[in-house]
Amino acid sequence: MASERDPRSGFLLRLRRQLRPLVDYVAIQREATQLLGDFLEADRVFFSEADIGLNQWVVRTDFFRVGPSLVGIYPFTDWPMIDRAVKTGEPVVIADIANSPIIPVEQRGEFESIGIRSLLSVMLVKDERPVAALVVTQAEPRAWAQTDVELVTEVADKIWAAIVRGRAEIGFARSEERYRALFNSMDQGFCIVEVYFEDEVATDYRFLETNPMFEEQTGLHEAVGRTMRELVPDLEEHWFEIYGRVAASGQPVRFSQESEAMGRWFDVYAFRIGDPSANQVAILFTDITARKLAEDRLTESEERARTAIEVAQLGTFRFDPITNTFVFDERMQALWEHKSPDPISAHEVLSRIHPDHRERIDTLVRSSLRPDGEGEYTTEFPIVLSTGEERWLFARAKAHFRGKGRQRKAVSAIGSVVDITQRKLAEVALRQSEERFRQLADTAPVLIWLNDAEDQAEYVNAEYIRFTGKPAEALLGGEWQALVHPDDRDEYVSSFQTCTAERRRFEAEFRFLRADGEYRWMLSVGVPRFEQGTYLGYVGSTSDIHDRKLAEASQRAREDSERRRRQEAELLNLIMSQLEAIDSVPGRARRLVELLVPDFASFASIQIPGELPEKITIGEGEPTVQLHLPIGTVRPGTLRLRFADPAAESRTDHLFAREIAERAALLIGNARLQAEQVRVASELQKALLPVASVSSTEVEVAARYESGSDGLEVGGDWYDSFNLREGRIGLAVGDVVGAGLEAAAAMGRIRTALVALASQTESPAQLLDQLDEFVSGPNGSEFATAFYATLDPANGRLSYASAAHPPPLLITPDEELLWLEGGRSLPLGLGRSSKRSEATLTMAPGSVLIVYSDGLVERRGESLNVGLARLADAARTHAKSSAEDLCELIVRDLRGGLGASDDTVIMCVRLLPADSRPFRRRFPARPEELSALRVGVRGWLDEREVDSQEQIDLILALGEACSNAVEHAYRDQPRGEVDVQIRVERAGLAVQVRDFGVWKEPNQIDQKRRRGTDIMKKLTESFRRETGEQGTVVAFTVPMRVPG
Amino acid sequence: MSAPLATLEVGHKGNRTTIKIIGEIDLSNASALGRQIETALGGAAAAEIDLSQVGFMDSQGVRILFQVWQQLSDDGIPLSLVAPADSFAGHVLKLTRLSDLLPVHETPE
Repeated sequence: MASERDPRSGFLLRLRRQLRPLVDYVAIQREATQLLGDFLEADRVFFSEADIGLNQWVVRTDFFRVGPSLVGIYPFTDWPMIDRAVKTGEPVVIADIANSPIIPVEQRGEFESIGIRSLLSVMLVKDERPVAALVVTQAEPRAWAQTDVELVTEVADKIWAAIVRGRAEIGFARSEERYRALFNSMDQGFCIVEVYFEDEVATDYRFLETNPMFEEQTGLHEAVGRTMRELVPDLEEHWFEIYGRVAASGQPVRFSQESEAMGRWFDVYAFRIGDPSANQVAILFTDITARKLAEDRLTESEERARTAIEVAQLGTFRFDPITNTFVFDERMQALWEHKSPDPISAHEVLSRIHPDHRERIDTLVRSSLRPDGEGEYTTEFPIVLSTGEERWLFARAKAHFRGKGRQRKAVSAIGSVVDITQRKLAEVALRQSEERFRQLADTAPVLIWLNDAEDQAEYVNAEYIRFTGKPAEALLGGEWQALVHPDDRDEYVSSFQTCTAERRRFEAEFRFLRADGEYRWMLSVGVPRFEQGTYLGYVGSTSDIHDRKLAEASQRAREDSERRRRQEAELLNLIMSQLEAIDSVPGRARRLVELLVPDFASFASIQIPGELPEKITIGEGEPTVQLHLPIGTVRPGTLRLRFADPAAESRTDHLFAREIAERAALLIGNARLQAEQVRVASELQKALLPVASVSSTEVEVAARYESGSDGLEVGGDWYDSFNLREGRIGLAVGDVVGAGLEAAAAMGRIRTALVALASQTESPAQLLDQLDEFVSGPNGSEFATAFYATLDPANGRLSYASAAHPPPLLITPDEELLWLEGGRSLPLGLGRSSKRSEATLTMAPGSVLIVYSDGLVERRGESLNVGLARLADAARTHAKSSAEDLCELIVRDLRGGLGASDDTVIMCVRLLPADSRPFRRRFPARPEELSALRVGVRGWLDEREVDSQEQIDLILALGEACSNAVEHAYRDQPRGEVDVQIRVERAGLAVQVRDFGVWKEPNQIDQKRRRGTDIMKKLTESFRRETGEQGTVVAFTVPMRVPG
Repeated sequence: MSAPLATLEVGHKGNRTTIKIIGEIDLSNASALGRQIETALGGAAAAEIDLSQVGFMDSQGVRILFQVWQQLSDDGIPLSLVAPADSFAGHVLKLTRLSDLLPVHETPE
């Protein structure tokens, strides 16, 4: 429910706000009395502090509409209403002095003369002692309401609380926080303990906080959270007693004390912090064991000095301006060491005043007595006793005048003096404490700052100013923010704001601009300050950690660079080993970029004009570095990279990238040379091996030669197949031991001889026998193994003989495996003395014979049986494949990606079942051949009763493929052949059209060809066209509804 | 090489010139056939090419038909084709969408 704001609540709120920033007690009183006077429309408000020992009131400031000011010191008797309040403890409410029994009749006039007719006075009682009164008066009678009484009581309480807080803030407490921030980074031990009491006796204390020096100074490790008795069980009792006293009384102590239990002397300064009920004591100490002896005597004399201080007492005096003499009461006589009630001359009185203050006091007294003078004064000054001891006095005096104007003349003056030595000492101590802080703060090698409750900078120390080179005003005005490194500023400021909003400890590292223009790494630590639950702002220290940070960074950099070097070495090794395993320039180039992306680079592209058909690119982004590859036949190649982590891009990366480029260039260059050599060797080998194998619709024959890993030498492995009389086929695989030209020459001789002899020799054993003499060459005898067989497709009869050749493998239609172990004899080249034998078997339609050389199954350090088992596995796995595929798949399975050292050949021969015999035709690439092809295909299709629509589709698609081959494969080249195969498969009719020429570049494909390709794609499935070094293969399948 | 792969039968129906191709059209004879057709159609006011007797025809045949049609169109001479849907040529015309370009009839008009 909304209600109108209570004006009293509003007033109290305003009062609280106005008092909060004030710390000086006079200012607090001035502000409070002013506000209260305004609010109550009172004529006068004053706050009067009781000095019980002296039975007097002290008014330091007051609010009044009608004068005079009441600032001054008054004997209790002067103000009977307060006196009464002191006695009863109750507020005194006087509506009209004229008929109040409290004010004696003879005093009423004096009250009225200073404009007091009505009053309200409340007493403040603390620790059962009256400490102050708040008095509100009116020049006219006023009926005070109960709410007025309550309000004034509340205001009195608030004033008192504000004074206490202010004192605390001005005094030690304020320094405490500063000390705390300061000493965390200084070489004094510092800790905060919570003192435990049992029956008001301190029994133990627990460490809440320690600074880094604490451990060093005390030798106590990890003290936080543990109690002193745990840490040092036999610690002397007086330590507990001392800290207990500090915790209970709030009085700070400073002392030097030995702890025999710890074997050390400590110089200790202990003070209570936080809420008194928390019993927390902050202890600041130095291990002074070493210098203790020298200090002992000094400490003793200090002790003596302390006990010499006496209790303050009030003295009164009367001054006679005419005779210029004083009359002292007993206390004054004692103070001035003037043991007589006789008048004492002003001169003598002044002589006891400290020389530094004498003239000031003399002038003050004289001027107060002038006709136009105030007639009163208050002052503080020290006197010097005959012992040399100084005592501080507070004096107040008031003169009485007669006459008016120029006739006005002082006739007497009455005054009082209070010994305020104690207070002065406290003030000096306070100043010293503040001075100590200031000195420490200003000589500390750290930047110290204080923020107020509004989080505005309130104080910075000298080091702060020196470091930044900025005037304090500018720094306090917020200019420090501009000195934070731009990259750190937002985070620093927002992190600080977050912490202050939550009143949390704040810690941050940031770069800060030093006066010399260098950004230094700093560590800033700030903690919120509280006084009795009230937030006062932050205190913080900021230290230069630049060198440490740099040391850390360089350590990290060292570690990083070591790790990086390790990774680089690994990557380099990986690149070297992987590239070496690849034969071709494009292969190595591609592998290189594959290895670089994504770990080392996010983008890599390699270009080698004349070596790579086109640029190879992996990854995304723009390259940031371009490296020269000194290879390439036309122009040098380039490797372009974008490092994976651009932020970490450094000189090291560049250097490493260059190293990669150099090493890779060598390897890729080698690959070029090697590839060239391999190409030559392989071309030579191919030239020596048959291009076309046997042509038969009943038998599928495929063979393959694989060069060894180095690929540089011509091997001695060979194969051949040829048509014999009466439809029979001759099949041969051999291996001349050794490599190089001698082996190649022997191979050539053997092959030529074999083909020549085969047409005349029926028996394989005989043939091998006759071959023997062709093995030996001009340089002596070579040594060879060979397998030769004849196959009659009509009945599947296979006759074979083996001259120590590895046993061929037969896969039956049921996929059973049979090793051909029969017909074995010695190798060729050992002379014709040995007896050759042969064996026969019948291959069922669908069987596959696999003949090979030992390079297929042999591996270094491995039993031959293992290789044979591997071949058996591969054969079984791929048994259904065509002869051509079988060759490829077996080679792939057995020789894998690893370079096999030896070269090898493999020949696969499948005896086709009658219904799956393919259509096969090879014809010259001439348009005139196309119609004959169609006739042949139609006949083949009719045989298999292929549906007419499917026939149309097949013939049309085949026609397109063949037209393309005829028209494009051999342009500007000698006319070659086109090879057509059509096989019945599960999916339909599988067509393969192969040419052996070179097609024009794809971008030159004309409209016709595109149209032809469209037709093929529409009519067929699995359309593919592959162009390799040996020509182009177009393959597709024409689906069939009813497989033939 | 004895009999030609394809022969042309040229006739006239009113002002329309008709050409019937009998045989097969492939890479070997397509260009020659194209030239023959162009010659036969010289001066024709309208043209009809009958493909019902074509036993084989691939994109080469489509190419010449397309060229002939382009040339006649430039002169404003209408061309129609005869190719039953189940004939080889009908199949190819449909596949290559040549039937979308010019009228294809099941039988001669």
